[in-house]
Formats: sequence, C-alpha cells, structure tokens
Amino acid sequence: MSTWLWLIPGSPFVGALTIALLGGRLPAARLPWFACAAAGISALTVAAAWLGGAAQEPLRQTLYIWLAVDGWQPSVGFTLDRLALVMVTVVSGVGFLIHVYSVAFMDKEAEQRRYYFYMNLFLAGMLVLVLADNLLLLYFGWEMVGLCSFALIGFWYRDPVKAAAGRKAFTVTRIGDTALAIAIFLLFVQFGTLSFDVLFPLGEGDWEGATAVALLILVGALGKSAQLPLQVWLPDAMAGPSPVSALIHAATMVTAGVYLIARTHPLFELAPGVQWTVAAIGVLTIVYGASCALAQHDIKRVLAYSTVSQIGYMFLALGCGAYALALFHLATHACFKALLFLSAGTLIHSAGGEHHIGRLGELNAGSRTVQLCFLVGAASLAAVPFFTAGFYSKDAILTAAWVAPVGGLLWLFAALGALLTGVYIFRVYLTVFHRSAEPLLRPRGRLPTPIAVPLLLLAALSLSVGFLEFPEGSGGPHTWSTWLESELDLAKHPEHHTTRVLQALSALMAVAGIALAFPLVRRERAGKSLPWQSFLQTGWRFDALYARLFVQPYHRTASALARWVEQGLIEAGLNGLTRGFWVMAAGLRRGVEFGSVERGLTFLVVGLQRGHAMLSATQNGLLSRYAVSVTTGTLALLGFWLFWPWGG
Amino acid sequence: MANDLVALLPFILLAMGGCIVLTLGVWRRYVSTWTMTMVTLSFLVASAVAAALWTVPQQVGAMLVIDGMSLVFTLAFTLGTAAIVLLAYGYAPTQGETRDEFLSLILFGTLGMALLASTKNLLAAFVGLEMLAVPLYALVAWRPSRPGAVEAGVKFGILAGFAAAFFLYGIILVYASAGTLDLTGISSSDVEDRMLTAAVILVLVGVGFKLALVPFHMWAPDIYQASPAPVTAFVATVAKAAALAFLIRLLSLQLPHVWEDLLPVIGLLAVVTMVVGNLLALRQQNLKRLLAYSSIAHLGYIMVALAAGNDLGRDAAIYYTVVYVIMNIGAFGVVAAVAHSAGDRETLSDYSGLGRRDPALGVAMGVCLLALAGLPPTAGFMAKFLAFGAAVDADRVALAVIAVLNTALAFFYYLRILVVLYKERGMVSVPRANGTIRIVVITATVATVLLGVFPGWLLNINYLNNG
Repeated sequence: MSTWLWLIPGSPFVGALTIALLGGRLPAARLPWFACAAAGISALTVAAAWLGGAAQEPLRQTLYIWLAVDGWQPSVGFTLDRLALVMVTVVSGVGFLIHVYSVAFMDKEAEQRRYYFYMNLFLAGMLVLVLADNLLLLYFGWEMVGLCSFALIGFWYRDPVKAAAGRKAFTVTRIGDTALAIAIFLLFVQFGTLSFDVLFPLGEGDWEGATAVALLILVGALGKSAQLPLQVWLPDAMAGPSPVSALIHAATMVTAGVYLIARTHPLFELAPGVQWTVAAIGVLTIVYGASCALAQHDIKRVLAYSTVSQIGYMFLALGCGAYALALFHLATHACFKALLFLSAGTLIHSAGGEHHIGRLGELNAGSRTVQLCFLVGAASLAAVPFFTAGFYSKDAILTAAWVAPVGGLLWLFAALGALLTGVYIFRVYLTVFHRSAEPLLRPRGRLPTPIAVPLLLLAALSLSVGFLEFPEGSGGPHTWSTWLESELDLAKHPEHHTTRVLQALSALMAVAGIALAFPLVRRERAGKSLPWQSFLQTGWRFDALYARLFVQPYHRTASALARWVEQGLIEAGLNGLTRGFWVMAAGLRRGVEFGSVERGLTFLVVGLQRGHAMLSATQNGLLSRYAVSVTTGTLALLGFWLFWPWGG
Repeated sequence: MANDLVALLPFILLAMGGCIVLTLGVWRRYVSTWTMTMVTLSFLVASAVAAALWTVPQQVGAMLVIDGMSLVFTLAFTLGTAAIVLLAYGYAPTQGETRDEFLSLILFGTLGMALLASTKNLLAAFVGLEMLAVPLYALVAWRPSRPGAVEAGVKFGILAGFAAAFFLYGIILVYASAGTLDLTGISSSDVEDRMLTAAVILVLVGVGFKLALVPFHMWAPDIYQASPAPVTAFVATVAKAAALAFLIRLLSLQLPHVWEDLLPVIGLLAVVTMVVGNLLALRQQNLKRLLAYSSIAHLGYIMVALAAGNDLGRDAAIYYTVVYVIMNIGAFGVVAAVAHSAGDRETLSDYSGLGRRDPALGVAMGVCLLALAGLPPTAGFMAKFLAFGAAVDADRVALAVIAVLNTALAFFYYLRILVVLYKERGMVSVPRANGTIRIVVITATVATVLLGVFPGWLLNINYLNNG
C-alpha cells in the first residue's frame, strides 16, 4: 500500500497538469468529469489505505530527495499516520463530492477549464500539506492552497470587487505565511532538520526558542484559519463560487491552521503560555464570529462568519490539549458546513444569484430537498442534542475547556457562542424557508443528480458522524479519541458530576438559541433591527480599523513619498543633477570622453573581442599548424610538470 | 567460460550487428534504408539490454572488467548511438544514403566505445580507441562527393594518427616503468620514478586530442562544421564520452605520487580549455562551430571535476558526461531536424524565428540550451553544481571560481541563440521536421529535465566497486 501513497495527491496533480496542458483538446463537456475522476481516484486511494492497514500502522513513502548536502535533505516524502488519515479522508472525500456538485453548478460557466484546473490543483496542494513528512513540503502545500484560494475567490475577476476580495485574502494570509516561514527557519537553525519524525518529539529538554517558534506558528495558523485578528479576509472571500466557498473556505483550507497546530503540538506543550493563548483566541473568535453572523443579510456571509466562529471551537480544543476533539469537530464541521454552503449555493443558483436572506425568503425558490438539507446542516451547526454530529463534537470541547487554566471563563465564552450559533443559523433558516406570504418563484423540477447526491450524502454524514465519539461519562464508546490516542493524548475532562451539569447546560444553550431565533425573526419582519446592527454587520468594524491603522497610513506614506521624496526630492534633485551633469558632460566630453574614458570602458569588451579574434585566427584550417599546436601543448604540459615550483 | 560469453554478449551483439548489416547491403534492391536502420537499432537496443542485465562487478578474461561505470557508459553509448542512427535516418541531406556501410561503421565504432568503457588494460584501450577512430574518419567524409568532405576526413585521419602516436608512446613508457599494462597491476606496482608521470602525461595528450582539450582542440570546429549533423553529433557526444570513460578509469588509479604532480596539470588544462572554448564561442555566427566550441568549454568543466581528484569529482564527471551526451544530442538533433536537403543551416540567422514556426522544436532547443548554460531544474545545472562542488571540496577554490566565471560568460552566447530562435523579424521558413528526429529531440529534452530533477538515478550507483 505504501507504494501507492503518492497517488493521493498525485492524481489531482496530474489532473491539474493535464487540464492545463491538454485541456483544450478534451471535449468541453468531458472536462468536469475528468476533473472529478482525478479527485475520485484520490478518494478511492484513501479508501484503499483504510483497508490496507493505514489505520493501524503509519504508511510512509519517500518519493524523491532533491539533493543531499550534509544534513540538508529536502525530500518529497509522505507519512500517512492517523492524524493525516483523518485529514486526507475529510479532504479527499468532501473534495470529491464538491467536484461532483460543481459539474452541475458550474454548468453554464464559460471558463470551466480554469476552474477545474485550480480545483484539482487545490486538492493536490491540500493533500500534500497534510501528507507531508517535513515542514518544507508542508509549507509548499500551504502556499499552493493559498495561491489556488486567491485564484478561485477571484474566479470572476472581471468584477473588480471580486478580484479585490481575492487580493485581500492573499495579502492577509501572507502575514501568517511569513510568520510560518520564519518559524520554519528558526526550527531549521536550531535542529538542522525539518522532518517531523526527527523534530517531534522534541525530547524532555526545554528549549528557550519554543515560545517564539510556537507563537510564530500560531500566527501562521491564525492567518490561514481566519482567526482573530487576521479574520477579515474570510467574509470577503465569499465572492468566489459557492462550491469554492464550501471546499476551500469551510471544509478544508481554513482548517489547515488547526492541522498545523495539531501536527506541531509538542512544541506548544513546551510553551504553555502560547497554548493558553490559542484557547483564548479561540473563545474570542467564537463570540466574535457568532455575533457578527447574527447581523448579516448575505446568506454566504452568515456562513462565513459561522466558519470563523466554528474554527474558534477547534482552536479552543487545541489550546486545552484536546487535539483529538479539535480534529473531531474539524471532521463534523467539514460535513455540515459543506452541506450548508452547497444547499445555500443551490438556493442562490435557483434564485438567480440572490444573496440577501430577506429577498430569498420572498422568492422562496428552494425545493423540499434543499430545505431539508439546510435544516439538517443548521441543526448540526446549532448542535441540536442527540441527533446531530455537531452536538457530539462541540459538547466534548466545552467540557474539556472547563479544566484548562481559567477554564470557567473559557467555558462561559464558548457557551455564549453556542447560544448565539443557534440564534443566527435558525434566523437564516426561518427567514429563508418559512415565509407565510405567497412564494414568487416556484421551485422548478427535480434537482440534478450531481447536486442531489452530494447534498444527501453530506446530510447523512452530518447526522451520523457524531456517533464515533459519545459524550464523556455517557457510557457510549469513544471510538475516535481512543483510536487517535497513540498520536494525540486523550483530553482531560472534569469530574463526573461537573461534566454532567456542563453537558446539560450546553445542550440547553443550543435549544435556547434556536428558541430565541423565532422572536428575533418576528422582530425583523416587523422592520426592527438588532441593537448595534451596523457594528455587528461590519464585523466589529475591523475593516475600518485596519484601513485606518494600516491601509490608509500605507497609502498616505506612499503618496507622501511620491509627492515629497519622489517629485520634490528625487525628481527635483535629479533635474538639478541632470543639468549639472549636462554642463559637466559637455565639458568632459571634449577633454576626456574621446580620450581615456571611452578607451577604458571599452577595454574589456575589446579585450574579449580581441581574444576571440586572435584565437579565431588560429583556426586557419592548416593541418601542419594544428599538429604544431598538439606538439607544443605536449611540451608545455611536460615542461609545466617539470619546472613548476610544485612539480617534479 | 560460458559466463564470460554471457558477459561479452553486448560486445558480440554489436560486432554481429555490424557484420549482418554489411551483409544485408549485398541485396541492394530488396532491403530498404528503413529496414537496415531498424536492424541496426534492434542490435543496439539488444546490446543495451544485454548490458543492463550484467551482474556487476565481475572480471572477464584478463582485459575486461565490468562494473557500475562500464554499465552506465555502455548503456549511454548504445542508446546514444541508437538516437544518432534515428537522426541519420531522418536527416534530409543524406536521405537514402545512410545504408549498410554507414550503419556498420557506426556499429563497429560503438563496439570500440564499449571496449573503452570496460577495459582495464592499456593495450585494449588503444585497440578500442582506434576501433572508434577509424570508422570516424570515414563517417566524417560521408558523401565524399560533397565539397570539402574528403579534405575533412583526411585532415581528421592524419591528426588523429598523430595524436595516437603520443598515446602509444605513453603506453610504452608505462610498460617500461611499471612492467605491466594492466591498470590494477600499475596501481599495485610501487615504482616511484618520474617516467610514469611523463608516460601518463603522454597518454593524457592522446586522450586529450579525442576530447578536443585546448591546445589539442583545433581539429574540432573544422570537422564539426564539415561533417553532416548526425555524424557531428556522433563525434561530439558519444565518441568523446568514450574517451572520457577511459580517462576517468585511468584517473581512478591508486597512484598518489603521480596524481600529486598531475592534478595541477589537469587543472591547468581545465582552465585553458574553459577560457579558450568560451572565448572562441563568444561571437561565433556558425551554429555548428558554436556548438563545437561550447563542447570544448564543457570538456573543460568536466576536467575541473576530474582535477578535484576525489570520489565526488569522479561521480560528478560521470554524471556530467552522461548529461553532456544527452543535451548535445538534443541540440544537434534540432540542427539535423531543420537541415535543407542541400546541407545544414550554417549561420545563426538561418534559424531566426524557428521557435515561433515550430514550437515543439523551439522549446526543445530552448531547454537544451538552458541546460548547456546550466540553469536549474535541468541536468546541466546539477552537473555543474556537482563538478564545481567537487573542486571546492578538494580545496581548489580558485579553479571553481574560474569555472563559475566562465559559466557566466557562456550565458552570453547561449542566450543569444535563444533570442534568435524567437525573433519575430526575418522569420525563416522551416519544413516540417521529420518524425524520427522529432522523437529523438523530445526524448533528449525530457531526459535532460528528468535527470536534473532526479539526479539520484545516476548518482547512487557504485561506480568502481570500491566501497
């Protein structure tokens, strides 16, 4: 099985290359299915890996070592351990479903070749990222997915707003990428290797640089995963097509930060302060995202803020040392959030590109299936007790947060977030699907199969995945965390009674949130808006703040530099200089230029040309001269050896 | 005995192939050029397969040793020659004239090369060298009716004979000094006189002539220009590689006192060869001459690796040699591909706009040129990196610096060709290149990139079986 490991990222990579190089020769109607096949082979290989024993023993494959110089061995090597297995299953599975969905969704688009090229390339990059056995290759995948994210957000680049959203995403994540790169440099300087096997575990010895490196890795993760304070790019990233939002900005790429921290967790355990910061940023982001989602009118922006908030839960789990639970929430979130995005996308599609939830409700274009799927996704997101996957994953994180330092406070924030989650998602559901007035648009016919199948599959998963890990103390099996225990330590939970109380409270929060959504929607229909509506809708005015703090000063400095330094100083100076030089040159021209300077400057050129000419003259075709040259050369060599100081 | 015969199979196949192709020529009317080419190719490929199945290391008789190095080089020679046979078949100026005599000469020449790569006896090496050289005289003068062809052949023949005399004299001195012509025997003899050094210098002159090291290089441009492009490719790539294979084996002898004296001499040769080769190429307008001069410079870089005198240098030289063969076959293949039926395109301006007219050939030529210039990710970069790295490793930093400066100088003329290839004004018309040549050029291009990305394929071989 190990020998086939390369096929997981290799198949979409070859797919992307083929689409780029030969895509013009494929019939246009086949192109989407070709891309799907590439993603499908990858997913099948993952399935084969499950059967082939990857779930027991890590599989390894080193494809290629570029050049080995001492300890520096940049290799393309893959390790499929349990952590990576979880990730590749989510990425390739959801990735394949979304590729299939795209076939119908992007049907009418003109530039499908570009779309599928980037989709396949993204999948390859993401799989390289999670399979990499060293940080350098991980970083390569990290940059590749960043590039594809940029290109796909700006897929409709002729609309300047959308192109700008792509640029913003790229620029903001770049801050994180740079931090990660510096962290990698520091690790290499310290340990002389970037291979995970050698790097982790770091051993018992505490290393002073750990705090700095962990902090830098955290910044990298914050950028990719859109956590406070680098969250501003994600809501704008919704400018891309909905399948892209589902795949890149909900299920996979944005969770790369979670994966990164889980992968490098020994480092964070050496720096407890940084680890607590991870949790603190997590809870702040939970409340931030949930509160912002409350006030959005664009359905995709609600989901974007919800993603920000949900990834906050994963960061909270990471910060509390509950790595397996973070991954668990990552997996369930990938299912229900992809489901939400895809059903929202279908809805938007059938409503002719309408994003506003109020107007979507008036149009009422969604079919029964879409409504059902959205309801399942919303219930799972709101963590409706017992039925939904979201309940099992979120609930476990909440109890685990209680035992962390200052756990009470963390729990309080997270529980507040859980309450708000129920409110905002059911606000959307009720506004869009439960409209008493007569619908303007009747749903037309059945959903196309490539759309219906992924939706239903994801819905089934959103309900069932949770049963892998029953709540602490419930007596149910803990399949997930015990299976991951060999690589990621078990999470600590508070004592039995406290756990019970906390679980009851958080379940109550979810239900209460959903209940609160009803009066809220009624209020909104009556035309009253939330308090602090505009503050929340603009994402706590972060964009304005950053514009004031960074963007405007930057532009102002640039224009000041342009005006004062460029025009005032340099150009004026240059003008003066030019005039001066002009005068001087005119003087010098007579005296020096025709004299020494020209000769000096052209000396080199002429010398080389002269050398060429002289040597060329020796190539005169005269046999005897050639023979003389051979003889002279022989004598010269013998003479050199005999009479040279170090010879003889 | 039977084992020996099996080990000798690649040599036997080549000799047999030569005889059979020659015999086929009797039925002039009934055997087409295509059939003959295919028969030749199948013998070459069979020989390559037989070589690939060698058990290494082993000794065959008293004169041959089969180790990793002979394996790699025999494969390179047979496959490289196969590529050249294909080039010759598709080459317009000699259409239908590369029949029995031509092909058998090529096969016998290849036998000489294979012998050179595996021999451990100086006398056998001399036989191999001459088996390679004599067919070359005839090949250079191919189509004797062509103006200047006979002159080139005779010139090459006389000069080569002249250089062979030095080689023979060197061998005699070796025998006089060490009392044996066997390389392992020389290695274990503990003579410490200076005659051995002088003898090795004379052998070096003989080999240096084949390699066109400066100052023994003067034949190269004239011969390259005068011969048809496939023959030029043959002389410039595999034939030189054969001489290099022997030189590398010679320099791997355990003779510390000799190398102590000789490595500076080799370093000097390397410097002179690089500088003169590059200077001559600098403003050259004739593409075939330019490639001749550039190949002189490349031999200089290989000598830099050998002047390091360590294992790293040896491996680098082997890698460089194989890569040199591949990228030059690619470049000469393009020259052969666009030849008029009257002869090759000579001056650079005859190639202007080629890359726009025929994108596949243009890209292939571009990749080969960038590889010759030494740009990553091609194998040309890796070869230079290893060669100069070996020099630095052996504390011959000055040599490495001179080599790097020369590489920079060489960029000028390689990039000049690229500019001409993609010029928009004065585009020349290009006939659709022959399919077989196309295959050869594209294969060489792909191999150039692949070897650059996976250098381990050639570097992880235990060449001389010395631990």
